[in-house]
Amino acid sequence: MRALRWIVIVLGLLFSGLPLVWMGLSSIKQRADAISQHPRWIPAAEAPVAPDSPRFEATTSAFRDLASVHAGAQASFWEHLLNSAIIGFFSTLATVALGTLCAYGFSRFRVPGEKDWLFFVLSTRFMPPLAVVVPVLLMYRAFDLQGTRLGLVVLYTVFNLSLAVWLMKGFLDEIPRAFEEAAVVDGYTRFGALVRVVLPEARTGIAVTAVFCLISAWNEYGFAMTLNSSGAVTVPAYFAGLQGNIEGMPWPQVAAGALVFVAPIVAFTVLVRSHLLRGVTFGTVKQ
Amino acid sequence: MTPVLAIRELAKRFGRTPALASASLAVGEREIVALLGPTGAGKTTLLRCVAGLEAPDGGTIELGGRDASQIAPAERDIALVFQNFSLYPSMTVRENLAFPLRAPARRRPSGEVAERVAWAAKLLRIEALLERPARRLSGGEMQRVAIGRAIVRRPRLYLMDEALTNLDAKLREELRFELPALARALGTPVLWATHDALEALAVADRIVLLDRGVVLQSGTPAEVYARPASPAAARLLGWPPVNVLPARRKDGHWTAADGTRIARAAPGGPDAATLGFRPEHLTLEGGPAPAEVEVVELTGPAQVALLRWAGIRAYALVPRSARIAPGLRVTPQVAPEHVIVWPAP
Repeated sequence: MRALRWIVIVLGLLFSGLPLVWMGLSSIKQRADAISQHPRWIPAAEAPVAPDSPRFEATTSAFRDLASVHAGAQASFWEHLLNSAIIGFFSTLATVALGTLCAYGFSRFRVPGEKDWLFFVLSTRFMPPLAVVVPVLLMYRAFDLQGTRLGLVVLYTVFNLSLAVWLMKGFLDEIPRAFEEAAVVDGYTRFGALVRVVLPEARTGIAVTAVFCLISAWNEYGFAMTLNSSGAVTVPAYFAGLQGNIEGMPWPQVAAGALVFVAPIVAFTVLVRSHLLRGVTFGTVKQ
Repeated sequence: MTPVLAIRELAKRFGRTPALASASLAVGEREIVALLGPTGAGKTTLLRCVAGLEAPDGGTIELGGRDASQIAPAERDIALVFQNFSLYPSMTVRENLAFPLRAPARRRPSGEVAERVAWAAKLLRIEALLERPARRLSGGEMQRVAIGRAIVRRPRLYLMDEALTNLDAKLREELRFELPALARALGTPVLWATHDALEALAVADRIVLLDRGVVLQSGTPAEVYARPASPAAARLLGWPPVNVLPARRKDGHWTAADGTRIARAAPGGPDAATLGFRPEHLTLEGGPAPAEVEVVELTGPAQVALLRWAGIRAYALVPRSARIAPGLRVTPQVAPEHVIVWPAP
């Protein structure tokens, strides 16, 4: 039983980890080694003599090349990463802020037709996003939002808002009203009670919501490709756009860039991990 | 003198359920008023209306002579101790205590905040807990901190909603003496809601009896105990419970439906009435023995006997030394001056 468990774990780890390992190996190869017919998977200090050797010469040139502008692109990888970072940050910020306030309203006030409104909010996720790509494109053209960071910030905020409202409503519902009532009697305004008492108690929910929104905005490809093929191009669209350029696909740079691109998400998730895992503490109100 | 709090004919309903029908009461300067009523009487609703957490459907609330509906909850300057503990779990005990003093409405310099927090912590013996997160406190500790949050402020009025109910017996006994003494020392009036008649008798200058959203009676503890306005009011105060039975005047005596003579009736007054008498006013003697002892319960200083008598089950409080046992036949006696007579409707 125990052995079986380990087998399953190792197989799962290999299955999900192998592409990452291969990406890591590719990022330290020369382009010729990356596209060689003979698999080369042992990094070495020097280039091997035999053409079918599994060894390859490790190099950091792919990472250095991230700073240069590749053929077929308008800017270096780092500039595209900056686009992704700015768009991801602001759309996450806007989604969490708007979603939390909206959820607070639904959670604490009697809203006529509350269930219908919440269903409407959720229904914005029913249609596959790409089904609306053409109308959005026309709209963005009319408003001159095509190719701008603001355009994608607005778009990702709208897409993720329903998720944020529903997630945050669940978390806020769990926070007893007694906290706010006590704060109001203590001399705080309703908004003061929200900021000083409710939001600190909702940290876990906010962290969870932020992780989901950031990942979704960070990885989004379809709209980024359609709306921002030039201008503020994000990393996923940048890599895809390198296809078919005159120098061919620079695989080591793509691998290196993808590694760098994954890193902030991993770091962010690790940072808020304690919030994700920490049991939510409602024990202080005895119902 | 204008009372600190004056409530007139307060009404509040939740959907179709009336929580308060017509409640009027006043709390004067330096006065401790106990709001006594069973669970569901409307005590919490009344306190929440006073604090501004609920908007009443009818009646008025005045704070210091000012219509409270014009005053925002934050501006009312009232401290409320909730029945359910409401500490902020992610804050430490110290932060919880300091929280009311950092409110924009009445912000205090940090030196004074520290001083008052230390004072309250010492008083409630929670100094050792100050740095602990509130979520790691026991129920009794939490309630002490909750009381501390109320007393660090110097509000114009304290509202206590079953503040001691969830504490263990020892601490409850202590605080039952200490809290009123503290409020008197501070000169701050208290509206003290409880379902515990003994607690109400112990703490209050005045008791207001509330049942099903209606104020039955208010007066000093002695008055309310000795001259309850109705059988319902009499039942709310005192343990063992008051004995109540209908009787008619016959040959100068109050006589029960089955012909048992209860006590001599004072001349004048109604012919039919509901009588009430407290268990401690019932003495058991020999003689014709119309009553039978059913159950005897030892309560420490005295014994409680449950009698079958005059068609009712009557409670009698008898000295520990009395030799009674189930099955014994006795003659209950009650002095005419201890009989409460409510004219029959």
